[in-house]
Amino acid sequence: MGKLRSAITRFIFAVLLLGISLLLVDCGAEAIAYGMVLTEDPEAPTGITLSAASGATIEFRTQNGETVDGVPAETMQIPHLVLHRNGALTAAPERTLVVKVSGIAVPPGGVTVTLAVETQHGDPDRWGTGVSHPRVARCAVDCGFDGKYRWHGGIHARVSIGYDAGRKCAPHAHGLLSLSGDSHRCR
Amino acid sequence: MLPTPTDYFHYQVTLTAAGDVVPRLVFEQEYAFLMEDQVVVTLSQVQEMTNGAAPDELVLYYYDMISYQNRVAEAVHQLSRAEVPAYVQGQLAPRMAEAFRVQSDVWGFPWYEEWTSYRGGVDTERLSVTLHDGKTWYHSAAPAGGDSRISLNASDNIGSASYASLTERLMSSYQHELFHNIQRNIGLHYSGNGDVSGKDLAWQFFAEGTAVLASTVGEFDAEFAGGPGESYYVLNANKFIGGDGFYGKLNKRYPEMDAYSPAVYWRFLYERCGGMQVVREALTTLYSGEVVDIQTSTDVVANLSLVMDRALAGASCPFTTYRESLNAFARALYALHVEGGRCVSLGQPGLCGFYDPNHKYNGPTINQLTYTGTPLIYNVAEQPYPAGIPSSFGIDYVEIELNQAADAQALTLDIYGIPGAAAVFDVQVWQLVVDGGERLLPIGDTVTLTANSDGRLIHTFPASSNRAAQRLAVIITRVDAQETLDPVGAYTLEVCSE
Repeated sequence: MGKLRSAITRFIFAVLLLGISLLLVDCGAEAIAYGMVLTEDPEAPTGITLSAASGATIEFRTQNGETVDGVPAETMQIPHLVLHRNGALTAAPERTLVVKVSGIAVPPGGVTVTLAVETQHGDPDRWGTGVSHPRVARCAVDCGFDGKYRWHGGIHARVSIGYDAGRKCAPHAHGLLSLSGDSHRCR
Repeated sequence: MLPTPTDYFHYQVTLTAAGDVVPRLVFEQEYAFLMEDQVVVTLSQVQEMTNGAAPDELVLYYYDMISYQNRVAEAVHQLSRAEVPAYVQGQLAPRMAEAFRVQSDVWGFPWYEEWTSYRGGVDTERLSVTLHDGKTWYHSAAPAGGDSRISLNASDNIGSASYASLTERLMSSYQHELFHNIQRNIGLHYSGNGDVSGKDLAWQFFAEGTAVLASTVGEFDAEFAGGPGESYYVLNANKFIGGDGFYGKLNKRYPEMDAYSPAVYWRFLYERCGGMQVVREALTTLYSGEVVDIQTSTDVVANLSLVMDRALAGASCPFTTYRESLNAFARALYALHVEGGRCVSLGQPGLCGFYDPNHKYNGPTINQLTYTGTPLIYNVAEQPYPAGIPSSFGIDYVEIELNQAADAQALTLDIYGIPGAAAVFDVQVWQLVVDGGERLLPIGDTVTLTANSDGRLIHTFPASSNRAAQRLAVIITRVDAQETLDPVGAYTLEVCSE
């Protein structure tokens, strides 16, 4: 029974990710990964990809494009989301981040996937100058069961992935976006 | 309610098996994605040489996790994050759209179909503005000040320049960078090249000088505001003019001079020639390549008078040659010292030189001499370093205090260079009354000295006029382009009685 459930779990997860992956654009940015390999298939190594649901990307260069101490800037294409245009929320695909985790062999008891995102800059309202202050603003994001993470203007709709066999993920909380340093863990 | 932040984002994804505490797998990445806000404004229909040549939209890209702030003296004024969207959409965007209309239609710069932004994709043919922190790549490199893409620093002042508000600072930069687009528009049309500064950036005298001017014309109140601090223009103008013992850049070779401080010459032309027509003529002449190919030549000095002669001939100025404009410019700078020498309205006729309602300009440093009744000789041995006028188009100012011995004498002023040397000088003299020990009151207008058959510039002031004058201001301008042949520019000034 355990084996069967594990197989079903893996199947459902794979189907969800396959559906999402159709929307993906490989952005080429390399994530740091550490921990155990969670794949049983050497042909399908564990990996992660982020993309905008709209498919939009934008060039980013580290070190503001400069060579620093002999280290050249890195250039990458990263997902490009637009939250508001002329003060109004954009169409959902423009502000939806799609996260694809692949090559996962879900253990029999299920797996909790947690996404935490942080702004690269600290909160200028708290630190004033925006220069050299710690990055404190974290925003947990809504994680739809389909793996799409969507921001809503002003409201942080925290929808978690609670992924285990036989249980569909559902929204379980809505609240204000926190800039207090809390990170939201999906469960 | 706190607004959702817009920024570059780091993410971390963890996968934790049921019952585990420690994640089995963690993914994380810095600058993994960008989420921003945008404001899109439809631009006015403006002059264009072909249908559709002008950009139709202005797009502002911004994110709110950087500081939108302005420093004035010791105070820092910062918008809260919640204020940023309304500020960008309600204040900045309308002013930027209006500036586009004014630069295009009021200043008279029609758009050509060859214009393109430096940006790619959807931005290629539209005007776009990014607001950044000066440190983080955002749509392109984030410059310390501005960039002609148009990329503006919302977080920091531009060096030591000071503006009364964030809007004034950003609009000043925007006017400047927008004008680079106007320049590129002309360059692409006439020569197919959008490199407005030319080979080795040698032609920044035109590109940056006129872009700084654009800020003063578009944002006059911001650039010339009263109160503490100096705007970017005033800061640079005073670097050029000098004052308080500092000689500024009046005798700096143009190839070695920074690109921004000569903007004061362009401001002078704008004021004296009644608007931007003279600038349009100059840029069109330069970028047409009919006088000089700026993509292959770096010789600004040799070509400056050729370009400007043609530009001034096509404009409505009180002078028709570069040489004449240079002399008028030198006189206007000296006028900053004299009573009534600062205009109280734009284009005011009479003795005044620059429109300067809040006294933001310094007066140039003057070399002081005294005539005591015996012949006075002022040559390279007496002149401060560097003696003479070593650079083409350089300017020296000398004041000669006339003591009572001069009252009953006719005085002859004789100025000459080294025979056979390449340097050529023009000289103007202003007779002044010193009122209350401080105020300099001019007696009439300047006298322009004319060369005799030996090339010496000689003028005799009759005794009757010297009874009124207490001081002579001598304005010496080097007007040749031969600074490499004559890098000293030696001259001698003599004063003697008849």
